[in-house]
Amino acid sequence: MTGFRMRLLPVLAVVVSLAASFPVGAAPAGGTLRIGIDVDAGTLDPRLANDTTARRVIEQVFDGLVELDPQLRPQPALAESWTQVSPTVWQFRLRPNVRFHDGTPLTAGDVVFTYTTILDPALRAPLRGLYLPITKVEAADDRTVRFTLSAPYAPLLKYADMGIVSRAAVERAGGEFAMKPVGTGPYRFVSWQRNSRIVLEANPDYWKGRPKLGQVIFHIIPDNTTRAAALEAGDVDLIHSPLSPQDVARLKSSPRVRVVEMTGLGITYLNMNLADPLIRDLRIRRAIAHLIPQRTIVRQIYREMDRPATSVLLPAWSGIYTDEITQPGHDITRAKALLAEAGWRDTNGDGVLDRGGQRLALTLRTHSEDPNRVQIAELLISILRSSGIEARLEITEFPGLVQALLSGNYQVVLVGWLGLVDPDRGMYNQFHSKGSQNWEKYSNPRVDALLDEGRQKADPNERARIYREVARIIAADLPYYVLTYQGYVVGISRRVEGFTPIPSGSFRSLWTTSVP
Amino acid sequence: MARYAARRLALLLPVVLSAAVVTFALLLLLPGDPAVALLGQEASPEELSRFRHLLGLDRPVLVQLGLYLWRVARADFGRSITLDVPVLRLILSTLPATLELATASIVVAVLAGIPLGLLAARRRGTVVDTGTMLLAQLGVSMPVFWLGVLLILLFAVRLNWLPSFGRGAPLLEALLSGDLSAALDSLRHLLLPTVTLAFFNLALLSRLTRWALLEVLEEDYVRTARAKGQHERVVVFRHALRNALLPIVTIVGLQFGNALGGAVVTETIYGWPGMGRLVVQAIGQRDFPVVQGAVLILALVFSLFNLLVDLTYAFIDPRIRYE
Repeated sequence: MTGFRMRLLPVLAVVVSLAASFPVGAAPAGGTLRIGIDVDAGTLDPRLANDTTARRVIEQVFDGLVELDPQLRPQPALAESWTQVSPTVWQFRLRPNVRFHDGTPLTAGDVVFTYTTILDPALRAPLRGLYLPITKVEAADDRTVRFTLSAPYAPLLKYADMGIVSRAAVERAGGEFAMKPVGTGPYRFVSWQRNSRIVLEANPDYWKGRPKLGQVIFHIIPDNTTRAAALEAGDVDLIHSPLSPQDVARLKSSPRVRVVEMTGLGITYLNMNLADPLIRDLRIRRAIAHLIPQRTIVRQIYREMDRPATSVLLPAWSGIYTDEITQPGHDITRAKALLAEAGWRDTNGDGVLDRGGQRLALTLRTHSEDPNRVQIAELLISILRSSGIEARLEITEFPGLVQALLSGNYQVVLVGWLGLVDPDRGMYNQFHSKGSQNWEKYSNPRVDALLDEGRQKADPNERARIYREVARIIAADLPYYVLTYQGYVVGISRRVEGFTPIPSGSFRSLWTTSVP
Repeated sequence: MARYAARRLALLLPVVLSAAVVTFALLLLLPGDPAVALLGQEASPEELSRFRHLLGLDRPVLVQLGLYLWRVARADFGRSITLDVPVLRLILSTLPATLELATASIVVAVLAGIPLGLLAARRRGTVVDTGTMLLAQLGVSMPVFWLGVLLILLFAVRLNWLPSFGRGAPLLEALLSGDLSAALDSLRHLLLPTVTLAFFNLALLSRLTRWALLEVLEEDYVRTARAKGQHERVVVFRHALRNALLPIVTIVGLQFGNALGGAVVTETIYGWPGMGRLVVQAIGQRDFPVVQGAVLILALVFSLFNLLVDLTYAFIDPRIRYE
């Protein structure tokens, strides 16, 4: 059957010629930086952004009144200065001669429009809750914006990095604005191919000066391993978290890649529902905490990419973080003693603890999208079972888990928080009895008073004292057991210069980045 | 023939309608709704209920279904909840990429699978046969994501011959406009995902072809043809293969449907901007209108393709028409 072989030859020839050719398309002046990211953006309107990709693209196209530096301190951006006129009135002075990408000048009216629309429930801005203490935004003159608050609100300055949209462009484009964004940022929007790429080009009139790169392309590559492989192969120049621990290990040995690891702005934690009759018992919560092999999880599952957490205080909160506050450590004997103290004993010898004829049953929930969390949950279930607890694992997709949290229909949930730029962001809504994310129904008057006080204090020492005390109480009361401080990992091609990774995951430094 | 086709075409309506109803029901069973998915952990209960009202999620289920079917009947697929763009626009912007990948993979599976099966059948019991069938065994048992990762690590990372992800310009467009370098770039992007998606079908087809041909080669008329002293090539291609082709055509038709639906994993691994990924994302975000619209369109494409296969079948085998 030589005929078959003959027929295969042309196919082989095509394969060989394909392999020998090189990528097409010339890079524009100034060089192109290709970034590999995990999900497509949902929108490019900063007011509506709800995913990390959207935020990464938006911070290139838009500027806020302030921008956060690597230490998360607010620095002047569109606002060249600000003053606190009274405890509840802030005034921002806009930088002169800033223009939007469509050539129109930035005015106080655009800032007022941005914040007013965010506060309007009709817009459905996901971060609206952060701005609720604002009662009034007004333009004092063309370059001055005044914010009036219902009560002193120290975190406002950090949240003032929200991208300012052009009122005229929004009104012109309507719903299309989310797909054709117009801002004042270092790069302007060129094109967006859904699920494929978002292309930006340098804004030559940027108020800080022209960016060094000519073009920035965000390639959407959902698979973690493919994204890492694309960096190794030289198909992209920059990738960042989320990454799989085993891929990070491989990237570190790749000669053309530089890997930067730091502690990010996220925590992975166990949320313990205090409304549940079993979990309400502090001894049970302490026993669960004592059963968690925190260091093993960090070493085996995260391969040290994430760090063992000591409290709800993040290392990135400089001046506030301390490792002196600790949660109950891994101690199985102590756990068993606590369970016995709470009255749970194996009276019938079936291997499961019981009390008054009732078996000690516990359901742990997590979400399916994060394989590391699924692995941790499986490990915890086997540990709980071997300690005489009838443990059950329930894994759903993220919306299903959020539904359970919101409805209070859970016992213990393994989940995380991202983007905790400030202690207020990481604690107020979570632990205040009136907090919007206090799903675990934690209520402690002392914590409420401290959190309210923290919002009003701008003095760093005062804030450190307040939030450390809250963290100490939380570590003892255990509505949360904080498992890890999430790592933030960046893989950069060695040909890229001038890029500074920031724990928040921000790509702000793309303005100074260059490729030969 | 025309009446047969017309009758089959009319049957499409109940199929697509059931697909719509079943999808609607399944989505209701999923925990978590679009409001929760979109507003996320930061949402307050008041915001959630306001949003649900806005989306009409607080209406009775049957009313929602009725309204949905009424809109679909007027070819109105609604707007995506998370992206706030017309669903039809989303589908039409991603369907071509999926069709391109599915078609390429079927072409490769057919062009490689059938000859391999023929080869194995003709060299039955030899090393060639064993080798081919071993490859086929590998093909049907290897998980797609694993094969995909291996191919990327070898051809993109190690050898640096092919791109590790993404899609070039639409291949058909590039070919029609005569832009050879763009077409070549498209092919380079297409190659790994195509092989990944085709591998299973290729293996299946080669096994099926081998079996069908061996079966037919035992038939009396084949012995007669040989007895007449016809050249072996004529016996195999003119007499045996045509009859062996019948089950193969059916399978290829089904495989195309599978390739459309099964492209999800391949699309995810290679960052291929297709419809499979759109649907998976939409399910994760509980973007009901997108899932519903996409399933409807897929059901339609799948049904049309099966119709085409059946018609081909009827064309090859006249007995089918009279049932």
